[in-house]
This record gives sequence, C-alpha cells and structure tokens, in this order.
Amino acid sequence: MLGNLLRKKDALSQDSVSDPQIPPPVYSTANDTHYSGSQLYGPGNNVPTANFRLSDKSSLCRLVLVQDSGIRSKQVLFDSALSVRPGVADTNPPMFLNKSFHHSVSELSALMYGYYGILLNDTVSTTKLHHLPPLSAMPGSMLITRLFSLDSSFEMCHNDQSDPDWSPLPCVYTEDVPVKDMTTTRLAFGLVIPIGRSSNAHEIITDHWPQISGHLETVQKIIISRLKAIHSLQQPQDSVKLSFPTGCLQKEPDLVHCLHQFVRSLIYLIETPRLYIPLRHSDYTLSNWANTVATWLELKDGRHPTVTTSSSPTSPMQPNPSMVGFKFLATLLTFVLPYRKEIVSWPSSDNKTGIRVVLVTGNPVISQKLILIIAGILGYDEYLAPQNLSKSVSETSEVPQPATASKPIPIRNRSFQEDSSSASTSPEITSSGSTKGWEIPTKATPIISGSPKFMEIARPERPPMSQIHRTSSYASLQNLSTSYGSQSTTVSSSWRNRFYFGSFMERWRGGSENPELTHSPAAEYEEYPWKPLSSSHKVSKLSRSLASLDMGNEKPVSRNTRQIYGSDAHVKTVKAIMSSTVEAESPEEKVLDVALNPQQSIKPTLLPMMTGFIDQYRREFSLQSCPTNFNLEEQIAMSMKDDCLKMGPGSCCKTFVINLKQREIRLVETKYQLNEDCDQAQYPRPLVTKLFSPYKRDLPEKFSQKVERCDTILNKIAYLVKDRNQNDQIRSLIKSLIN
Amino acid sequence: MVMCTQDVDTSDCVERFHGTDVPASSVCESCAFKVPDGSVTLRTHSDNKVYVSTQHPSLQARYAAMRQIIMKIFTIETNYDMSKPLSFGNSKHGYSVGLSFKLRDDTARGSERRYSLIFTSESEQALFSRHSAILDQLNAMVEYVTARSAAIIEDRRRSDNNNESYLRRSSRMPKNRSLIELLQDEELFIKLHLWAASLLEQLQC
Repeated sequence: MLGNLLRKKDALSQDSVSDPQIPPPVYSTANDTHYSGSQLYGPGNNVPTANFRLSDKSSLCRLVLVQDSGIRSKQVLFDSALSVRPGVADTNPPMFLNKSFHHSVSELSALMYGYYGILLNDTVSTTKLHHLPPLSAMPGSMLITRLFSLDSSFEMCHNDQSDPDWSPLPCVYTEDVPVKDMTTTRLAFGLVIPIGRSSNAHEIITDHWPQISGHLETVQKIIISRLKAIHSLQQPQDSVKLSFPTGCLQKEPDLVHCLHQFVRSLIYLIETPRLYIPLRHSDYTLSNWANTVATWLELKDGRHPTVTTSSSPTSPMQPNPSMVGFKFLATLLTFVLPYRKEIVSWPSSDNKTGIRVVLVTGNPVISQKLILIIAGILGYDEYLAPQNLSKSVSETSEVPQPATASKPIPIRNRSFQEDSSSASTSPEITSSGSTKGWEIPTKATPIISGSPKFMEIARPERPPMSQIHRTSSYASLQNLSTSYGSQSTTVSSSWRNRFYFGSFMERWRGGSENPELTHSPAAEYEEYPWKPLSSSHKVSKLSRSLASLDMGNEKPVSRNTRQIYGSDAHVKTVKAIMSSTVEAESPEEKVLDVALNPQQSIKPTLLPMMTGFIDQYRREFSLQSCPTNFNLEEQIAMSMKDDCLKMGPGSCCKTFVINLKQREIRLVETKYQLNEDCDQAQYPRPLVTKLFSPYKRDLPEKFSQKVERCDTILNKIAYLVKDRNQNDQIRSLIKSLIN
Repeated sequence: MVMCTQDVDTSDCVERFHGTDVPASSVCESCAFKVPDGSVTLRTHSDNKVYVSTQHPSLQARYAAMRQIIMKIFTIETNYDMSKPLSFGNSKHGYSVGLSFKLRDDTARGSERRYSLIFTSESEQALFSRHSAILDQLNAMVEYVTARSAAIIEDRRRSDNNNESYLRRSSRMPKNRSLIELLQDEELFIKLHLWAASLLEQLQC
C-alpha cells in the first residue's frame, strides 16, 4: 500500500517536473491520516489546508517584459499570456490575448512605468507591487514589477550608498545600477499573480517577499543575458541608446521556464503545511513529542534505557554502558542544534548564513517522527502559544456566519469560498466537494477542517485540480482508486506494514498515532466534532501507557498552511487613540512629550519554513524530508549556490543531509564566491563532509562529550515519559538541551 | 509633507531628530504641522525607543528620500483603485507602502483634498514581513478619518439652513485648510503621532 503510494508520488513528481504548468501534487499523500500525524501541525489539527490554492489558478500567472521608448511608447518584448489563435497554420502566426483572463499590456505598463511614463533620472532598479483591477475570470490579482535600466555594456553593479542616516537594504544582494550611468534604456518586467478576494489575500505575496525577490533577481539576470545575445547579433547602431525590436524575446524558452519555476515555488510556499509543534505551551503536544523520542531511542537507536529503581527521576542517571546504541539522534541533534536560529528564521538572512536540514528517506512515516523530534526542539522558543487559545469557551463555541464572518475566518469556510471561484472550470469538483464539506456539523468550526472525519470525506472529493484538467476520464478513475485506497488502509495496511516494517510500524501506530484520533470520554463534544464511529474501530489498538492521553482542556489551534490566525484588534487601536484625550507635557522648549498607552494587536503568526515529508527536495524550506532522487545532490548544490549569491559577499550555506536508511549525516557547505557567473561549471563544487555513519565513529573528543550529554538528556526525557506529571521537568530538560 | 514620525534608538542622540522652526512662508495652512504651545517636536518614550514626530525629518538624507517618495506617490505612480495600497521601493530611496485617500471639501480645488499615509522602511525585508500589520493600521486610520470627515460634512449640511450664504462667492473660493479644521480636532496631530508611535512600537522595526 505504502509502496504503491510512494511509487505513484514519484511518478507524479516526475510528471510535474517535465511539465511545469502542472502544479505539484502537494500533500496528495500527506493527507493520509496514517502517516500525517496531527502532532506536526498543532493541537487539534490534522493536515491543514491552504485557504487559497494557487495551483488551481496557475495558468493565470503571467510574465510580461516591456521596453520604454519614450512617453506613450512602450514595446512588449515578451508576454507569456500571448497565444496563437487556434486553427491558424502560419509559420509566424499573429498572437492574441484573451482579455477575460488577462489584462491588456497598456494597462499593465501604465502601472509598471507610472503616469505617462514620466522620465526620471533614476537608474536604480525599482520594485513595485500593485493591485490589479478585477477581470471576469480573475477577481483579484497583483502585479509585481521590476523596473530597471540597461546601458550598452549590459553590466550592472551594486548600489553602494554609504549614508549612515539612510542606507536602504534590499531583501537580496542585488546589482541594480548600470555600470555606465549615461544613456540608458528602461525596461520593466511584470509578474501577474492571482490572489484571493479576502482583505488580506495579498499576504501570499508579501509573506514570501524574500523568495520572490530572489526570483525577480534571477529573471532580471536572464533577461539581460538574452538581450545581450540579441544585441550582439544586431548591426552596430549609431545611437548609443539600446533599442530592441518588439517581441524579440517572445520565443525565448528560458523566460517561460523562469515563470514556471516562480509559480511552482509560490505554490509550494502557499500550499505546503508548515509545522507547528508548541512544546512549550501544549501539554498534549509535549506528551506526544516525548513519547516519540522515547520510542525512537528504543526502536531506532536500539537502546533500552534502564534506570535503577533506587534513583529518583530527578537525579541524573547514566545509560546502561552495556547497551550498544547508535546514538544517532543525539549526534544529529548535537550537530543541528547550534544552528537553531538560522534554521527557524530562514530565509531572513540577517547573519548571512543559510542552514538547511534535509532528511532523505524512502519511508515517510519514520521521517515524520524524526521531523517531529527535530522541529519540536528547533522551534522550542519560536513556536509561541497562539493568542486565540486563551479565548474563553463561550467565544470559541460561537458559530461564525460564513457569509459575513470577519477575521479570523475558520479555515474550512474560507477555503471553500475561495474555491468557488473555480466553479466555472470544474463544476464536478466544486459541487461534490462543497456539499460534502458543508454537511459537517458547524459547531466549533475552527477545527473541523482538521478533524480526521473531515479529511476522510474531503480527500477523495478534492483531488489536485490539475489531474482533472489534464485528463478526463482516466483522472477520475485514478482519484477513485486513491480514495478507495485511503479508506481501506485501516484494514489492509496493518498486515502489509507488518510485512514490510516488522512490528515497528505497529509500535508507532499503537504508541502515538491513536490517542489523537480517539474520542476521550472526558472530552466535550465540541472539542471532538467528528463522530465516535470514525474512530471506534481504533480504540482496541490503544496502547496501555497512552490510553489516558487526551487533549484535555486544550483548544485546537486555528491555522492554515502558513500561519496561525490572530484576532483583529487594530481597528480598536485606532479608535481608542483617536477618541481619547491626550495629555502632554513640555519638558523643554518646543518639545512636547506624550505618553503611549500600550496597545496589543494580535496578528497572525507566520510559521517558520519547516515542513514534513514533501514529494521532492524544495529549496524553499529549511527543514524537510524528501525521497531519494538521483540528482538530489545536484539540486542541493544548486540551491546553495543561488542562496549564497542572493545573500551577497561573506555569506555561506550549509545543508545537513541525513540519510535515514544508511543512518548517515553529511554536511554540504558552500561559500559566496566572487565569480558569480551564471555558468555552472565555473562555480566551485560544494564541500561535502561525512559527519556520521554507523561505521564512522571517530568524532572529536570534545564533540563526543557533547553527544554523550545530549544522549543523557534524551534518555532522561524518555524515562520521564512514563509519568504524566513530569511535563515541566521535560521542558526544563529541553531547555538545557538547546542552551 | 505634513507630519513625519520616526523611531530613534534611545542610544542614539535624540536631539538630532528634533524639528526646527519652519518659516511660515514656506508652508501653507494645509501643510502646516500644528501642535499646541508652538512646539515643533512631539516625543514619546518607550522601553528602548523614542518616537519623534516633526514636520520634516531633520536628517538631510531622510528628507531627500521622503521628498522623492511623496513626489512619486502623488504624481508618477499609478493605481487603479485608490483604496488599494501601493508598494514600491529601491535601494536608494528605501521601501514604502502608501495608502491614499480623499477628503471632501468645498473650498478645495476640485472639491476634494488628497492625502496619503506612507510607511517607509530602510529594510525591504522588515517592510514586507510586516506588510499586513502595517496595512491593517493604515486602512483603519483611513477609515476613521474619512468617516469622521463625512460625518462632519453631513452635520453641517443638516444644520446649514442659511439660504444667504450659498450665493456668496467667497464661501466656495479655493483656500487652504488644515486637517485640524477639516476633522474639527485640535489635538489631531498629537493623536496621529500617538497612533504612528504605537504602530512602530507594535512592529518594532
């Protein structure tokens, strides 16, 4: 079963690589409750869904390159939205633009260049972000513009401005001024991206600005290099000012590829659920986490920590020296923990160091467990308690009105509202998906989308849109088979898993998967909106030590794939300030001192770029697990090279590649090099060091001591798991581990 | 530029940011930054920052950048829907997000006055990572100001039963009016300063 799933996923990922228009099958498999594990996404959440799916609308994304040749004279050099009229068999057919899907170029260029294209002396590259007027097929969209100047040398340099009072700092290291600042031609390229209709729909772009800036840089470099190639073919001109013929880049495959890369990246950023493991604030998550650590130590590291009964839990205990263990987990944590801040804050590059952790595995279930352990510790300080958890019960039990709901809108309602915009293109999906979705009881809506009941129903009904678009009848059959498969896993997979993974899988399942699916007798109905029926058949498998584990009084977190919702206090802030009477005093002449009343506005918390198992290596994430791929090393090296170029001089990138099958940890390092030619061959290969493997144990003395210390703490945690009231002690142990 | 609030590290010399007397001839009534007691600087202390509001930024480099940004927002940059924000920036003038609005006023040319609330940062990353929080505040403020102005106009229309005045030409002659007058709030700039300071405090950038 699992093997089938994985094979299918591989096939899909290969498909999507060959045809970038097709959105990646993000989380088509992760929804499977058997190995998603709600511990990864916060209390009460199974796999969260995005409230806006760009993958449904990726064909509306567009790249336009416009040349400025004076007031009201703009020439389009490239436009990805132009298409050949069907039925025209001409060698050079006229291109046309479907205006119900795309804005006219003059409309875009007015925004890109501004009113009448007023000529400015500015030659610095400028980035702009505009909202576009609605179209019938695209109710909301944004335009990202990069306006830059080019001189006849085709070379750009870094804008060195050293005024201590005003020194703007771009997201990525950029070369944004033409070398010869004399006669320049202005060019602008624009990216149109569809967005949702809600008031904060722009967040899908602004939240990922560093990544988008990186893409803008790449596109700009490619455009310049292609224009340089065209220029070298042209006859030498008398005028110094560059000028290119209309549509000269229209057939350039690299620009199309660039657009696809950009869209795919954005889709992954928006639709991949990020981890949320609030060990500090959620006892439920902490218990799950500690259990996973204990089971890992026992089953994967091959050690059975035995503690003499005489020693109290608080006293330090020594692991039994006769037990031989890999100390894999301890070693891994010792390597990774010093880089905790860099991993969590990726990609905001304040310190010019980029760190990634990549788990390479063929077994998503095991990798999800390791991800839970690592991410829990890495984000210990970062995963803050969502403020909406502290709401009173009466507030949370209110039923929000879907039509008039204000922020925060429950995930499910919003996701379906967004999806309804695609109703015209795929009626069969929307009708079935939404009706099923609305049938869920609406009490305590915020957690409904995360409940297993919902996932089981919704998954078969909401396959990735692309499959439907691509093929018709075959795709529906495919989906049928997946849905059938997912529902039958409870019966069929138990023996299969035993066959493939031995009793280990059973232990995981019994150990930590069931409690969250199980209806606790103590829990209120509101907290468990799914029917007892859906989980009743799993009760028998409950492990003894965890039977009493439940979510207790913890409220589920309302979140989507990227963020945890806040509340809207900002309107009140403005009113409170503007309607108050102010008191001011004048300590010195012509200066008035006014006191500030602290106002708390609770904003959505953006989650770190850490995710669980994804179908392929993605450079967007700092922690991920992905299947083995023949050119994985190449991909990692490429992404690190690009990151270094974006972070600028003095930066370095490190990637910890963990191969779970071989229990091997390798470190790939690369540094910023002056030679930043796009040519891959000239850039030095990254340095690869094998840090740990079962056959390589010659670690430095000092490091071994650290590993021993880490191992001792982990063993203590594993011991404390047996007692439910030791959460505070586990927390203090984690703290000592990360410091 | 009517008013500019900046955050200053307490370690920095705050006096550098204090405003200077702006000669009355260089600003008109509509652009004057009017604070009680003839002050030119508003100051708010928080734990590790001081928020200073003046008519113009007193540092030359910042003033030049602000001028460019304001000029772009009001003349060059296009926006199809004025209620939507506009973000732009480069490594020379910094990174900004602006939200424009209009207030109805019979004594203005074209019967309306155009304003813009602009948030500018040196760091592109800082601006965009807080984009949503900033926009929420700008939107809330624009909503408040336009609602108040509309309410005042409505009030005046109801109470205005003097049939004589509408024939007088002088009542509709273009003239300069301050926001204080339009919104009928003597402490408007102090409140705006408090709002801007609380926004900066909340964002801590």
